Parts: sequence; C-alpha cells; structure tokens
Amino acid sequence: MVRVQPQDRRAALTALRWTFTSRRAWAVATGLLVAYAVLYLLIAKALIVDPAGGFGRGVRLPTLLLAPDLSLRSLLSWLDPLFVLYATDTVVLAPSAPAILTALVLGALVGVNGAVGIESLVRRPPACEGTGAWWAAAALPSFLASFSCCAPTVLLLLGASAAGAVVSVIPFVVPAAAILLLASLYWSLRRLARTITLDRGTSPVAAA
Amino acid sequence: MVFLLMGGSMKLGRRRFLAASGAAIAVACAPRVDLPPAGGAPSASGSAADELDEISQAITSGGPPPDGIPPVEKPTYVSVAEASKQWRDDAVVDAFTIDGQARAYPRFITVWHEIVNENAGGKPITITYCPLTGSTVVFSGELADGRTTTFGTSGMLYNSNLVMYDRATKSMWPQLFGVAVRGERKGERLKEIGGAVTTTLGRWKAKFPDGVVLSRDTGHARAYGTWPYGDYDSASGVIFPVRATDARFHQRKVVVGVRMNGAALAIPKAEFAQRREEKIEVGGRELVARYDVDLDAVRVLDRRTAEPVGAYDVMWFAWFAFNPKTDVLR
Repeated sequence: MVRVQPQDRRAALTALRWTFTSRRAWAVATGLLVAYAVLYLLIAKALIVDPAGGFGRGVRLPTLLLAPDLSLRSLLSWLDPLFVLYATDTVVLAPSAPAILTALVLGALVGVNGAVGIESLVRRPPACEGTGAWWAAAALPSFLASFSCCAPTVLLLLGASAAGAVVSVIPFVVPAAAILLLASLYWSLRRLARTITLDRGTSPVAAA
Repeated sequence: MVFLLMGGSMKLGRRRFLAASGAAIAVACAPRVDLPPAGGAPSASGSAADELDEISQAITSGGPPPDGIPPVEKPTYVSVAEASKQWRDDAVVDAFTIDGQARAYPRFITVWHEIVNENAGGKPITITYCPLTGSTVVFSGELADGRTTTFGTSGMLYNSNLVMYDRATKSMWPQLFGVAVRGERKGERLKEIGGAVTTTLGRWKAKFPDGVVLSRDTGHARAYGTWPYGDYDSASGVIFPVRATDARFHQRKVVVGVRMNGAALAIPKAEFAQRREEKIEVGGRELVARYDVDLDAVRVLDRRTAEPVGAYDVMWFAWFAFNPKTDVLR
C-alpha cells in the first residue's frame, strides 16, 4: 500500500496547475478525452458506424429514443442503453449510463495523463527526468473494459481459451484501469514537481 | 496494491468512495434473479440424472446477469407494409403460423432479446433465438403438470447455447436440449412447437402478405437494425467451450436439426435445396423433409398426419455438440 503524504499531494496538485496554465495542455487533454471516448464507445459497440447500415429506414433522421426504464437497476446496467440516437443512415449511438461514465472518466484520466506528459516534454524544466508515456499502457485495460457489455465480443477477439478468464475479470477491469491511470498520473505529477523543485527559479511549487 | 491519493484527513471520503464504487459494481453485476446452483435436486424423470448433472456442471457464464438480455414480454406487431418500411427484404426473420396467423420475428430485433414471451390463442408460447448457435426454437409455456410460465435469459451458456430459465420455478433449460438440467423441473422436457422456419422478410411477405411482424416497440431501447455480433456467423472456430466437436462441416454451417425419441438427424440446408423432398426416419418416426422454394427453408413433417414437427436451422458445431451421435442426411 502506498500512502501519499500531504506535502506530496500539494506538490502534485501544484504540478497539475502548472501543466494546465498552458492552452496546449487543455487541447491535448480534451483531444485525448474525445478520442478515447469515441474509441471506447466504438469498441463497446455503443457507437455503431456501418456504411451499409440503412438505419434511416422507417425512421426520420435524426431520431432520439430515450430508455423507457430509468430505474437505478437499469441505469447501472452495462446492457441497457440510456438512449438510442439514429444519427445518420450509417451511424447509431446507443450507450448505457455506465458506458458513458466510463468513457468520460477514463477518457479524462487518459487526457490529463497525456497533457502532463506532453507539457513535461515540451516545457521541460532543467532537471526534468521526463515522465515517459507509460500512462498509455495503463489505458489499455480501460479498453478491455469496453467489452463489459457484451462478452461474446471479447471472445470473438480473444478466442475460446481466454474466454473464461476474461469474462470473470471483466467486472474488475474498469476500476483497475482507473486505479492504474490515477497511479500513473500521480507518479508523473510527483516526478514533475520534484524535478522542477530542483531548479527553484522555474519551480511551480516554489512559485506557488 | 492500492494507491491512496489523499491525505490522512481524506481517508473516510476515500473509503466511502471505494465502498460506494464497489457497491455500484456489485449491484450492476449481481444477478437480478436467484437461479438454482448446480447439483441439488434429483431428476424429475428419475432417469439420466448423471447426464443432467454433467450438463448442469458444464454451464458457464456468458457475461450478462439473468435477464441482462431482456426478453420481450409484451410483443406488439406491425403489418407487412409497415415492416417493409423498416426492414430490407433480405432481413432475416424467424417465422411460423399459429392460431391461423402468420408471424415473423426479425433477427435484428430478437438478437437483442433472445426470448419473446407471447400468447397465442390464450396459451403462452415462447420464441427463443440464440445468436451464438443460430437457432430459433418455439416452446409452449405450458409445463408438464399444466402450470404455465414465461421464460427469461439466465445469462448462462451450455455448449455456447442460450440457457433459459422458467419464471415459475427458476429451473434452467438449455435451448437446444429442451430439458431442464437444474432446479425443480430437472429432467422435464418442454413441449416444442413445430413449423418455425428461418427465411428473409422479402420471401416471407410474398407468401404471407397478411402476416404480422414483430414491432420495434418492445418496451426497451435498443439499437435495432445493428448487429452486435459482427461477422460471427461466418467466422471459424468455436468460441465458448463445447463438449464435442466434429470437422465434417464448417463450424457455422447451417443444418436443419431433427430430434425424435433420442435419435438425431442433421440435414445440410444448402445441399438439401437441390433434393427438394426426402422421406426420412428419425427415432422410429416416419417423416418427410421438404424444401420450401418460396421461403428457402426446410420443413419436416410427420408423414402420416402432415403436421410439422420440431426442426430448426442451427449451426453445425452446436448441433453436433448436443447430439454427438447424430446422423447426417447425405
């Protein structure tokens, strides 16, 4: 168990503020959030793009259908779309509430990780160790999380031998991905704060 | 390893957060229905209990919780004209005639529900479709003792095939087995309603212009018209575990399965289209298999009564997994 000291937390928060004084950091974080969310929803088949779809048959486009059941149980289900949006003849969006939440939360974490990494590289403080990009590896389990709704999809990709193992761990994949991304972010920020501190003149910690 | 990201003063908040997250996940993933565990009750028929226990033990989770794939409980129907606006002519439907009315069930809808609980002539019937085995079987909702029931999806699979549960006793019934393998009804066989065929909307509506088609108004929001299984129907290999495999045909090849009195026959559908009609005998029962040119479907009838018997399109791997001693019509 790793316990975070208050001073480390303050340093990490200060490094985070330092990162987001740049417009580029906001652009990177937002871009990664959107890219991740779209990719996640595509893999989860909550966003369907099919050139041969013909989804406009019998409906006026765009058509938005809200879920008739908005009970807590339904809202917590990966399989129950919150709404179905027939956007065009070839695009349908039908995400569940957990899928939307996961896409946004994990997407935000991926975005912030990316922004911190890129700002560290571009605005590199003199003693910066470089943050690396292992947050990208931490994001991988979060894509596995996109299969939560539809086990057969996992199996189509991974084959029978992986089936049992994957299905059994799926409920834990989303929190595991979030923890990995948070840990990655924390370490990146702490390293950034420490290296900046070595050069007091540019230290955001000192400046704060 | 748990990373504590807050200071000591935030411990309670973090714990609460973790507890709430855990509870949310548990609720989201927990079965909504208490299904019986493996083993336990003896076979109702008193026979082949060992086999039923083996099957029961071999049931695996498919991922979703019970009724996570929600059956259609109050189906409504639209006219052929209305359905034609919504679906292309090549949309696959499962169709049968009951109570004098021809009905079609687009797979673009049933793939999201797998079960349609219906009433026909005052009697419950259940249309079941398993996307992983490509099989549609229609069952009576009347159990052996006259009690009636509807069915739900258990979220479990056996031989990659849908395992249903009945709402009356929560007993579990693999669709292609038709016999309860777990629960109070263990060993009991469901009554199958024959005559269902798999065809396309275009072919079906040409033959049954006054028929009705399952409406998209199912009481659920689903992306009808999309197919969540990708190219599964044409891919090779078996995904979930099966108890027996055979390489005579492509695993996903469509055969028409007939099972009578413990015997089984597979009719390769595409090849049979050339033969048109064949007298067959399955389990001592004299039958005739007929190719329906209009529907591009194979019907199996009792030779004496001309009544349709239970026969359905199914992927070869699944038919063989359930019936390793099956004959194949050559």
